[in-house]
Amino acid sequence: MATTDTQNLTKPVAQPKTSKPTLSGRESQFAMTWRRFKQHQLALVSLWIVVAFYLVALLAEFFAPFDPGDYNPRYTYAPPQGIEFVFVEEDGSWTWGPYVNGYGTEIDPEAMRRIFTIDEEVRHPLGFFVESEPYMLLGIIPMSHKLFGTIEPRAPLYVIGADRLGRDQLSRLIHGTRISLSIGLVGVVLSLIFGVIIGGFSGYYGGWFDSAVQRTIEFIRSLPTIPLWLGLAAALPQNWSALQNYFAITVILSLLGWTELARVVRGRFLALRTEDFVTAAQLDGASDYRVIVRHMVPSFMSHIIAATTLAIPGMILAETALSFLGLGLQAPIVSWGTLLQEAQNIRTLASAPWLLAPGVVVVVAILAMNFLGDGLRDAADPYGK
Amino acid sequence: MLGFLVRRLIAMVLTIWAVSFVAFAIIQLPPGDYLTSYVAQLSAAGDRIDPQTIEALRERYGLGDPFIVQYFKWISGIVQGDFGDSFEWSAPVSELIWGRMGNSVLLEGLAVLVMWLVALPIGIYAAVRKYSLGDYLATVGGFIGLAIPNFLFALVLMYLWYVYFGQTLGGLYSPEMANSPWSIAKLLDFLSRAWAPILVLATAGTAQLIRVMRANLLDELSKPYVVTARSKGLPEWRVVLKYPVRVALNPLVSTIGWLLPTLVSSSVVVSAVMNLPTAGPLLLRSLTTQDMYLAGAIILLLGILTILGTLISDLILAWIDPRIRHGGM
Amino acid sequence: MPNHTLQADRAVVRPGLILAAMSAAFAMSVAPVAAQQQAPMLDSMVEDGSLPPVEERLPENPLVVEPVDSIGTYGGTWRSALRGTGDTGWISRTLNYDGLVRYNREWNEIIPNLAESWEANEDGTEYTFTLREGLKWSDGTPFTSEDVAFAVELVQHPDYPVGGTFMTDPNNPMSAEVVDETTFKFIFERPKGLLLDELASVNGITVVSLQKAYCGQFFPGVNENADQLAQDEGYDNWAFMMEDKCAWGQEIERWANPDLPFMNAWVISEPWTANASQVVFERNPYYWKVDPEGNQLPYIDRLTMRVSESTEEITLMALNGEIDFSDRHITTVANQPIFFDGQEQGDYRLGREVYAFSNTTVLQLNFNHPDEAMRELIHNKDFRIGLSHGINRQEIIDAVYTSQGEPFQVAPRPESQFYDEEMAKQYTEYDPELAIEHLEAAGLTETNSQGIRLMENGEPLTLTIDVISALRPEWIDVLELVQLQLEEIGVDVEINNIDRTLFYDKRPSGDYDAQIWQGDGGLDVIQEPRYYFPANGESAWAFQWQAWYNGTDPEIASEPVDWAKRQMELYDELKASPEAEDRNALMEEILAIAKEEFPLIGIGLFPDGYYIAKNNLRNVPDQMSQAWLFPTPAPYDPFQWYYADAGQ
Repeated sequence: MATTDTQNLTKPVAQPKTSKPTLSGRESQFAMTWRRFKQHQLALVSLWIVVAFYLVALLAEFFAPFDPGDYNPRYTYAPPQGIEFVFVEEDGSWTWGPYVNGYGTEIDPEAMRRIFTIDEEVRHPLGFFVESEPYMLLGIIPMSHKLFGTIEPRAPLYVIGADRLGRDQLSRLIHGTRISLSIGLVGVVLSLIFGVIIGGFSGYYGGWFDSAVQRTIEFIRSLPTIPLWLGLAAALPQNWSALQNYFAITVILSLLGWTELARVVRGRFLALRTEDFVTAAQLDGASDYRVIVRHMVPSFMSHIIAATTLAIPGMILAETALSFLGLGLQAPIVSWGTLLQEAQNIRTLASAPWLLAPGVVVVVAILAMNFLGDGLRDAADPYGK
Repeated sequence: MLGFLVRRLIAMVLTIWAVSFVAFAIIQLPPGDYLTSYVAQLSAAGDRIDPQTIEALRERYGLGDPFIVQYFKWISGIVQGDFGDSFEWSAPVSELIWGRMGNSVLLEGLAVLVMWLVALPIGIYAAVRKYSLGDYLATVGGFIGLAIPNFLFALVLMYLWYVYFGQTLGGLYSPEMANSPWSIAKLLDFLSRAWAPILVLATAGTAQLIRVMRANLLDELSKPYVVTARSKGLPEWRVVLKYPVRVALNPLVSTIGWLLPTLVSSSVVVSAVMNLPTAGPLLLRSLTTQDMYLAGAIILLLGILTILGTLISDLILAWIDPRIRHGGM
Repeated sequence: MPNHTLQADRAVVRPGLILAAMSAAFAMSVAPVAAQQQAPMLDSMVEDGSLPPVEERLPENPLVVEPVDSIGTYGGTWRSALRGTGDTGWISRTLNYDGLVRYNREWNEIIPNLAESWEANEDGTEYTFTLREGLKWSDGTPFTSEDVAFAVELVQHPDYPVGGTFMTDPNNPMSAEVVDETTFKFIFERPKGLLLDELASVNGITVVSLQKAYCGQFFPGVNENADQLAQDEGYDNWAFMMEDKCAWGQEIERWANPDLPFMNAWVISEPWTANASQVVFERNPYYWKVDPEGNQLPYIDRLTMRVSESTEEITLMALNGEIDFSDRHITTVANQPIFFDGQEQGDYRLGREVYAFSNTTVLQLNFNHPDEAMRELIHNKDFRIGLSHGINRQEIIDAVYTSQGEPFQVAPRPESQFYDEEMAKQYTEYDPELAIEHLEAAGLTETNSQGIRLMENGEPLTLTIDVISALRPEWIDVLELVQLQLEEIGVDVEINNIDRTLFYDKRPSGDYDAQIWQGDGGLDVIQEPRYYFPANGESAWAFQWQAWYNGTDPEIASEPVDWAKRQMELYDELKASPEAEDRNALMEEILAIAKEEFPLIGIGLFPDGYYIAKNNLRNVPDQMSQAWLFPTPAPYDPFQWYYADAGQ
């Protein structure tokens, strides 16, 4: 092998000579992996975080108190509201229950901005499963309740502040999660398909085919990514709708991302193809396809899962970087990248730091996915450490 | 060894040719050409140009030729050392790029150096003290560096520096020093500005290095020769440093060639925010204005540098490991 | 390289300008000039003989400039920034505005500059200019009529790609005739009532930007061996070398050649090359203007311009007090609060700028739409009125522009003499019911299940609006609100955020429903009529009509409807009218047709902007007009700006 993979997933691993990849053997392998995975505390926590992220992404309409486009000219750049839980009435009695105070706003004509004062007099009580405008959950289930919100409709609720048009940052963040996570997932799945097929054949057959694939990978990797992105993104037909662009960009990201996975898979194949159980299967007269799919792929499935998990953060970061450069996704689409692009100026840092929340979310998501991937890899490798 | 070298060299020439073709194709991908983007830019500034002038210019720059003809003109010029002219600057491309490429290599070389200096000791520590508090802290810290988008980090750094120190971070040299020859004073001036982008670039890559170093070293540490060395009563640090660390470094050495394009890509973003005179912003600008010969030359050079880097890595590896040069793997 | 030059038809003289300017010229030429002084930085050069004394450097009657507030002191550096490459506009706006004539600070008069006087013949075909006696280029050689004639000859050379200037207008060929060293004539085939406005605009620099002695060596008309010289130097032919060495007007290459002589107040000291991190200009020791006490201008020694790709870096520099004056790139509505807050720490102040734009957002529906059903709809005035009433302008102004500005159509600004309140305010009231009434009158009566109105062919009505958010990010905000508002009246809006290049590429094919741009021509109504009738390539709303009118792109040209043709006739008449009053009357007629036909929909009056100036920078007016033809701040005479503490 000419160069070694940076993820270190290709290190030769001695396979158990006795383990026959039978159906029951695979199940027990899965159980074993899961048992080992549970011991990795950080990874376990990360798993739940990742699951939570995807749940939010899936049910964004339900979790977000508002539509991401709902604006309110009175509340541009409104700072986050504190949620209060106890109210002391004038007579000294306490009222329980979460509420937010209203905002009084006025314009400072010289500085050209809104000044917000908390109006203690006005209270907007909050509740779970509050009624809302009807919407379609997942595009099919008609709903008319949100997870939480103000009980009276159209009252201001800015848990983590408002953006420059008075749109709720939390709702935008939740809807952005859907786009960003799915772009990561779809992109990685595509990469995986390319990677497994190309890397698999390359490693299995070796010889000239392998060299050709190796040179191709080397070639793709020697192209600096930014011009590739720029060129390809700029070449997208510009009369495409936002949705078409979204998919095109995902494909572009995965076209460049498959090389890493292909190398991982190839490395595993190289390590496995001389193993006894593969030779045995070949001697039995199994077709190449059958050998690859039934015998070899299952034996390193967990490695692939780990590598996949580790590849998603790269996709997410790539998406934010593309948006920063003014390519890739563009407003009015809401993604972490476009939200960060809107926030990346001195004005926001100085006077509306809450708009950097997407940055925090990106960091959390990427940390969680990396730990999850690490845990999966460690768990999948029975004879490593 | 010679046969291996010859094979690799032939492959390299072919790859470079392929890169040149793709580089040229990429810059041709967006609709329109330099002149349309030029017209658009003028109009954005509230200004216009006569359509007849544009047609005359298009003919003159050869922008009306078919793709293959343009490519052939371009590549045969390059073989003779002529990279063509930049439309925007009406100056030969070769005059424009070397200074910036130099800055890129300098800046990114320093970033790599910092990455290695920080990541290797931490990686070794994390491997030796596996699952200790230090291991976790190093991993989490490294990942945070990886996870913060570069442009955000750069911007926050600039803003905080202004708020707390009253200085504007930006550029690589102070104006007085920009054109002077290298001296101690210029070096200090450079370092007083360059630390910020180096920091941003290095934090992004350190996590990866720590992780690879840790994993490689863990593999080695479980091997019999280490156990033997340990059982002979050698001090632990000697056991670790003598062989395992060296072996664990091999795979890292082999990836140096790929660091360059990755760093150039990430430095485009950092350079754009911090206004660094590197190749990145020139590339970005030339791509958006479709200044094709300039963009093509930069992409091609980056590609060639990467391929050379890979070649050197391969040669080092082949020298270390005889199996590779016999084409075994 | 092509140049930032306008079509000749854009330059139109304001009322009474010629007469007023003439009288001003005479007044100026007899102004008394006291003992002459120079900047201390030049003293040593005069002492060691490398520079002649100031009396010999100044012309016989230097231009005496009244300072805005007070006589200044010499010294100091004006620090500013160039945003990346291609920001030649800033240089035009600081030092490259010294043509034969210039605008006064009120932008209502044309005043003498290099030319101390001029006169036109009866029918406006022949203009005679008289230069100041003893003008010198920055290298000390005399500036004469020959230099002007050379510029005309070069620009008109068929092998030199220049278009769009009054010198190269195929509809009205002209020539220059040298009478003597200080007198020359421009002779036109047909009446040219528009010359002086062009000369006073930012583009007026073209005719005085090339020194025959230096640039002639690259020109075959002067040097027979110019082609050979160019080829020896590695250029394809003389024209390429000329562009590189002697770029004319406002070209970027002009600032890359430090050998090029100038007539400006500051000249190149560190050139603008691709790798420059800053560009520096230093005082021109031969500058030909003085203050009333006879001090040679400029007061400020030096201009340094940081070249930065990063607006955030420039923003921080300004906050940190490292920018002495700027009104560009960073002075956005969004940044106003932070600049306001930073005044004390950065030791700067904010001043007011009134933009020449009429409108923040002009919705240009495509009158040449290739789809027949859509085109018919767009031609229907009821449809446009319906859309207009469906937009809640006040809400947009509140949300996007922090309540600055007022609902406004595409019409001359209130400051303009052409202001017509009715034209500016018609159909701006937000009234969804009225909007629906008009849409139904336009035949949009049926709706589909989503409540979207159906066109006559049964297709749901979707308007795709092209916008370049990279240029004005707030346009996306405006459109997002418009999208929600028009949905209420059953019109589906798609926002198509595209690249600049494509935005222009699409125009000839007409493949768009609508495009968004800002409202140029709010103050410069006659010079920039693109929204009042299909006047030029920027009239994206009727691109094929303007092609018919201008004779460009005959393959796409299509014949306009009658009212637009009538407007074109009127404008042709306007261009040939020597009398300013006649021109104004004609423009009013054009505007009246635009008001009646209501082709374009506007959102809000373009709000005032601001500039940032350091507290010690003096003689900067508190309020300025901001435009391009009137290249702010250059008409406010930066050469008489000075630093209060420069002398210390």
